[in-house]
Formats: sequence, C-alpha cells, structure tokens
Amino acid sequence: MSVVRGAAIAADHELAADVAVIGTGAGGAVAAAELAAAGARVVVLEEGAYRRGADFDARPLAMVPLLYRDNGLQAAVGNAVIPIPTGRCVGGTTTINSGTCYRALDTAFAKWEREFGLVDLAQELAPAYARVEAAISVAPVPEPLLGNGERLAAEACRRLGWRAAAIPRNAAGCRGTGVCAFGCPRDAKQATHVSYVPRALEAGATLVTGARALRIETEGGAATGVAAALVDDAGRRTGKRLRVRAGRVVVAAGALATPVLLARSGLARGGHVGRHLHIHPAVRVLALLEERIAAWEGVPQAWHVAEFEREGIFLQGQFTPPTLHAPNLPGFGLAHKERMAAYARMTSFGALISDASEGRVLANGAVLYWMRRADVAKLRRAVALVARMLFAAGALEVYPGVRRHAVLRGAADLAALEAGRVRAADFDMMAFHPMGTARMAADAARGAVGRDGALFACRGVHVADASLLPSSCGVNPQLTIMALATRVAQRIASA
Amino acid sequence: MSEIRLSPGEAAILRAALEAAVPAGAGLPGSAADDEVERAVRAFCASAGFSALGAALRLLDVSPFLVPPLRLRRFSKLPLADRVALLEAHESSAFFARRAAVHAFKQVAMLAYYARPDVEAALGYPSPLVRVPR
Repeated sequence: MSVVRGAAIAADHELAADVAVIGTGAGGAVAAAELAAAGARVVVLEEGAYRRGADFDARPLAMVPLLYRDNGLQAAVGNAVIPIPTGRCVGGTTTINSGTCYRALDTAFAKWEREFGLVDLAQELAPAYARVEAAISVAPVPEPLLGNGERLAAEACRRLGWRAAAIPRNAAGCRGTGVCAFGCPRDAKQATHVSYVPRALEAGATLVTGARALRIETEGGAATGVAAALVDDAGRRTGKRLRVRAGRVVVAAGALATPVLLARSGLARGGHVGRHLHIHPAVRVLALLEERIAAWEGVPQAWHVAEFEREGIFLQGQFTPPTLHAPNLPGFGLAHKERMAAYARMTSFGALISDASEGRVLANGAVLYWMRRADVAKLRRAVALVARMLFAAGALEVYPGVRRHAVLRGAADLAALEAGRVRAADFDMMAFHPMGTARMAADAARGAVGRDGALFACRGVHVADASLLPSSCGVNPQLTIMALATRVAQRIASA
Repeated sequence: MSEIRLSPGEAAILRAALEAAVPAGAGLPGSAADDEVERAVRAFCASAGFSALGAALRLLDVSPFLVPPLRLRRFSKLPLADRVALLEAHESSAFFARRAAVHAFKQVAMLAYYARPDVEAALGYPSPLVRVPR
C-alpha cells in the first residue's frame, strides 16, 4: 500500500508496472482496484492531491480552488459560454458530485446498439453494474433525508401526476450535511477517494499524486508507458519528471482531458478522438416561497423527475449554499441583495437535458460546443417544466435563469417563456457529465475504441472513463462509467 | 494565498464594481467592497490563474462610453445606481461574451461576499458543520 506525493519526489524518477492508470475518478479508480485485485502491478497517476473528509470544511470559497479544475471555471465556448465543472483531486469528479447513481437508460443502450454496433451491451454490463452498486452501497435517499424543498417538489409532482422518485445515491452514512459538491466532510459519500482508491491501495497498487500525465509512450504501435510532470498541490510544475514503464496504459483522465492526452501522444488517428463531445446542459431554476423552508437541510440532490426522460429531459433536486445561490438570482445592487435576504424562503431545482449537439475538445484543451436549435428548445421546455413544478409547489416568484425572463410571477409569465424566442446564449447555463470524446463502437469507422475499451490506434492503450460513452446515457453517468471501467479492467486482466 | 496585483486605478475599479454588485444595506452586514471580500476576490482570481483581471477591469471602466446605457464618465466614477444599471445591462446583453464576462464577475463577487460567516448568520444559514457535526 503506497501513496507517493509527486511534489516530494526530489529527482526525475522511474517506476515499472504491468498497468499504468491515469486518473482516479469514476473510471481510473475502479480500473485500478479491479486490476490490482486481479494481481496486476498497478501504478496510478493523479494530477490532484489526496484529500479526505477531515480536509473538507464545507466552505465553497476554500474548497473550489482545492478540488475543482481551473476553480470550476473551465468552459465550453461556441454559441454560448457553458461552464463544465470537473474535479482535480484524488477521486476526480466523484469527490464533488452529488453521489447520484443511475444505470444508463434503455433508450441509450438501444441507440448504442443501433448506431455503434454495441450489441447486447446492457446485458453484458448488468453484472458490472451490480458489482459497483454493491461496492459503493447504492440506495435511494431515505425519506428523512429529503430536504424541505425536495418534499415540496415531491408533493408538486404528485399533484401534477408526474413520475418521480427519490434518487439512488452512494452515501449510506449520509446525514444531510448538504455540501456534497465541496467534498463530503463526513466521508459518507462513497466517492472513489474513500472507496475504490483505498481498495486499489490495499490490493498493492501505488498511487502517485501531483503527477500530470504528459504523454503515452509507444513503440512499434504498442504502449510502453507514461511520461508525467510532477506538480505541487496548486498544479505548478516542480521541474521533475516521472516515467512509468508499463505495457498497458488505462487512460481515465475524464472526457475533457483524455482526448488531449491521446492527441498529444499521437494517438488521435481515426477521426474520433476529441470529437463527439456530449454534455448535459443544465439550468438551475430558483424560486421564492411564502414561508421559510430552510432548503439547505437534507440531501441537496435527492429527488428526480423521470416523467420526461423519453424526451431527453431529466429534472433533479438541487440546492446550494448562499455563495452559489446568489449569482443565479437576477440583477445586482440593493434589489438583488434584498431578494437574497429571503434565502431561507427559497428553493431550487435543476433542469437537465440529454443533448443531440456534438462538441469538440482540441489538442490544446479548448472545448468547442455549438448548441443546436433542437437542444435549445428542449432546454427551454425543461426550464419551463421546472417552473411549472415550482409554481405547483407554491412559488411566489420563479427565477428561470433565462434572459428577458428574469422573474416569472405566474402562468402568463410562464406562457411567455414557453412561447418566446430563446437562444443558447440566453440561458444561465452550466453543463455536467462531459462524455463521448473517445467513444466506443464495434469498429474503427464509428469510434475510437472497441467495446472492451481498447484503443483501435495502438495496442495496450485502453480508455476507461466517460469518453467511452457514445452519446448521452440519459442520466448522471457516474455508475455507467464505473461499470464500464470494471468491464475494461476485467478484460485486461483476463487477456 | 497569493493575490492578483492591481494598479491603484484597477483596484479602484474593482472596488466600485464590487460595491455595485453587493452594496451596503438590505439588513445584511457590510458590502462586497469591504477589504476582506476584495482580498478574497483577488486571491480567487490568482488561484484560477486569471491574470487578465486588470485588463478586464479597465475594459469595464470604459464600457459606459461604448455600450448602453451610455454615460460620459468612467464606470468607477459613476454614482452607485448607474453602476448597478450598467452591470445589469451587461448581464442582460444580447452579446453573450459580454454577458458571460459579467456573469463570471458576479459569481466570484458573490462567492466572496456570501462566504462571510456574519452574512451567512444574517441569512439564517447555519454552518453545515455546526448543523451536522462530522
């Protein structure tokens, strides 16, 4: 069991392994644990630092620079600027997500079979899903942990006749601290830094933190290892290098970084690496209620509206501390501050969509994304549905995060939002769950890697993160990434 | 934590923008122009590697000459109500780059101001680790 802090390595260094794993998020940590348990010598490289619950003080101002890549400001640019927050720490984005664990929708598997030749993938993944669900204790949020805002949403869904339910999460010991996005202070959420990474270490893997993979080394069309720069906790290079010699390399740096690494390594041949970026564009809709509800109590993302899943729309509970709530209220100045003073009477809910648009990650890391009209219309409908639900829950005012529709006060305003012209740039939008930038397919004509995660362009290089997903999986992808990584690792171990 | 270095003029623009974002009043303590908030904003920008803060502030300062609501004074010299109106005009602009830039500023300013424990207390928001101990 070995954790090495890269910044403490005083000279250029070399390690040998059977498998080098890049990244410790939902993909890398699972692959590392499975491979180490199967007896492989595994070295895991992670750019960020290894922090645990005791390091998390629940204060966004301190935690965002500590845990988020580029302070959470990384964004896709095209016909809108869309921030896509991801993690930069051991555990990756699992450390800062809400712990939501869904299997991919049947409609996604059907599309992957139809368009990418991934026949019977759902059945093949079922045992891996079950294995992961058991490993991280996936269970629906218990009723007592629903926040007051979520209870109102649940009641509104019942009134509207919408299909909805408590969200399955990986947080068996959760007591509703309500700051999942800033690292769980109680380590209740089974993010990979408290689940799979310790398992990998116990099975003999070596973890090097502060190691930024620069390129995958190859010879004669096969992987020979990974070259990395060592960095301090703030991400500054120390000037020292690390080389891991390994005949197998598992790339799991996330869908925004994996294609960059593959491109820098000369492994982007075939025309699919870095392309086909999918995201879940999202808008946080806020509402003012008549009475104090203290929506910060309980699990902030605990309720899921599945009624519109067939349309590619999913609505999820979402409430944030004042620091992140305030920017989503319209305006500036005293009027904004007065509105914010009623924070205890506010709730919020998230509108997310599965996109049909495709973006691109360039070799220099820039993310381009042009949101198609159909997705703009779908997002507008998702926002309007949330607004309708919040009015049904008793909202006096709804703040939908859409330009020219800053405040909705009832049915007429909602109808204007539903009927008005809206462009992508009109939304106060974020996006989550980047996917698809090294997508899997039955053949090289349709994807970058095969269904076992093996890169078509080079022997011994495997992808095991959200880059694999050929399109949106229709829900939060964490569990699907973990199941795919399980399967990729099992294939490598049995090879 | 290190901070972004600003010239005295740039620091004045930042303070004017922070005050317009969250002025004093509404029953909540202080404003975003308070020293600790300004320091937190500069530190956050430094840790994000946003070295162009000074240039962005200078652009904001001349924006009243360039975009509606047009004014014949620099942003930092405008009365508070006009500064608020100008930030709101940027926020609701049809030009998304302008809108995105002011939204990024809003996020950092509000992140820094509403992180103050006295502000949280005034909002009735209990510290998560007090409400649910580790």
